[in-house]
Amino acid sequence: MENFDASLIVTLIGMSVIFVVLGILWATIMILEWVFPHQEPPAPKTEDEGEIVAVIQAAIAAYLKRRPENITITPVK
Amino acid sequence: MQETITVSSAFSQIFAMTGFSAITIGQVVMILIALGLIYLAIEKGFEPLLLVPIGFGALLANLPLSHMMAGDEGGLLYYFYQGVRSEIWPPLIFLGVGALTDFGPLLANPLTLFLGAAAQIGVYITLVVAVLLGFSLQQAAAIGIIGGADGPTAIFLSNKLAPELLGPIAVAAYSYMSLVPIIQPPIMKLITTEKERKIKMEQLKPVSREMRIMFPIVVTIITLLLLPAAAPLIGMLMLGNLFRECGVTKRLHDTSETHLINIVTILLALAVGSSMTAASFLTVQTVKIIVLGLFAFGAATAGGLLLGKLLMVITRGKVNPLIGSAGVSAVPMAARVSQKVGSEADPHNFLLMHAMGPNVAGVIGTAVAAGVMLALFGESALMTPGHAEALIGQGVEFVRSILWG
Repeated sequence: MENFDASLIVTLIGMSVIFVVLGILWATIMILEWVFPHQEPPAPKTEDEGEIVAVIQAAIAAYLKRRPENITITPVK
Repeated sequence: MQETITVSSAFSQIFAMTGFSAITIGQVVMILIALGLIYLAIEKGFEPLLLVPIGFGALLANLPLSHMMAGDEGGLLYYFYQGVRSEIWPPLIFLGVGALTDFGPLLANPLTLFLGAAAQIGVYITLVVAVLLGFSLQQAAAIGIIGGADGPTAIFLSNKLAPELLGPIAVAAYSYMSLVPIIQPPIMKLITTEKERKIKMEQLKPVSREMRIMFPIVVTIITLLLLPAAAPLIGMLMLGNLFRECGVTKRLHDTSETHLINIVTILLALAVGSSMTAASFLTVQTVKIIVLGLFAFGAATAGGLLLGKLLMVITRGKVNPLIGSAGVSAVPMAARVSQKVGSEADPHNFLLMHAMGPNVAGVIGTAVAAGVMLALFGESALMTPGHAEALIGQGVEFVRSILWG
C-alpha cells in the first residue's frame, strides 16, 4: 500500500516536471522565434538582360545585313 | 601407470565437452524464443535492425559452455555488456538519433511539445499498475518507461533501476515499437470522431537556420539545469542535432547518423540479447512485463490523443487530434500512423509533418521522464519506501496550506 501511495506521488511529480520542463522549452522556442525570425532568402540576381539583348540584336543585324537600330526586339514573356 | 582409453570412455569424454551434455530445458526454451525473435524480425519485419542482433545474442547466450552470457566474465559478450552497464551505448545511440532528427516541425509549431508531454502519462499509469501487480517501485519505473516507446531510454533506465529485468523490458519495448501501426489505430478511432480526423492543419511555417542551431544548445542548458539526471540522454541527443544543424561538422554528422549508430546498435542489441538467460527471462514477471508494455503503449497513445482533443478545442479546430498519438516517440513510425489514419478519413489530409512535432517532442519527453525516475530512484535516490510516507504527509500538508492557509 505504501508503494502504491508512493507511485501516485511519483506520477504527480513526474507529469508535473515533464509539463514544466517542456513548457519552459515552449516559451524558449517562442523567444527564439522572436529573436531569430525566418527571413526569405533574397531572390537570385538576374543577369543584365540589356547586354544579352544587345548581343542578340547585333548578331541578327549582322545576319540580315541591316543596321541594329532598325531591328526591334520585343520581350514575349 | 598408463591410463587405459576405451572407445566408450573416449566418446563419453568427447560428449562431456559438447554443449549437448550441459543443455537444460530452460536453455532449449530460450533458444526457441531467440529463434522466434529472429523469425519475427526477418519474416514479419519487426524492428529487424534490433531484433536480429537481440535474438542472436540470446541464442549465443543460451548455447551451453559457449561462455557468451552477459555475466560470463571473460566472454566476448561480457565486454559488450559493460557498455550497457556503464551506460555508454544508449547515450551513443541518442547521439545518432539526434543527428537523424529534424526538429523543424517542432520549432514551427512548438505547441506540439505538450503532446509529447501528455503521452508520458502512459509511463506513469503503467508504473502505478506495475506496483499493484507486485513490482518494486524501481522495477515499476523501469517497466513504465516502455510506454515512452524509446528503446535506448528503456534500456538505459532499466539498467540503472532494475538490471534483472533488462531483457524482457528491451524485448517488450522494441516489439511493441514495431507493432505501433497495429496498436495505435483502434485507439485513435475510438477516441476521435470522423469529423475530428478530417481536420486539415495549416502548412508549417519555415524556421530560421539560427533558430535550428540555437535549439539544441538552449534545450541542453535549460533541461540539464532543471534535471541533471537526464544529462547523458538529452546531452547526446542535442549534440547529435547540433552536428546536423550547424553545417560545419558534416563528417561528424555523417558518422553519427550512419556508422556510429549502426556499430553501437550491434553492440547494444547483442549485449541485451546476452542478458536473456532462462533464469532471468522465463519467469512470471516477464509475462507481466509483456502485458504491461502493451498497456503502457495504449495509455500513452490515449494520453496524447486526449490532449490533442483539448488543443483542438483551444485552437478552435486548428489542431487535428490525431497528431497527439505521435507523442509516444517511436520516431517516425507513430507520425506515419497519424498520417495514415488521417488520410483514411480524408485522402487530401496530410498530417505527417505536423505529427513529426509531437513525435520528436516525445523523445525529449521520455528522456525527461527517465531523468525524473533517476532523480527519484537512482543511486542518489530521493525516494525510498521508507521516505514515501513522509512525502505523502508533506504533500497533504502542502495541499492543506494552499487550501486553508
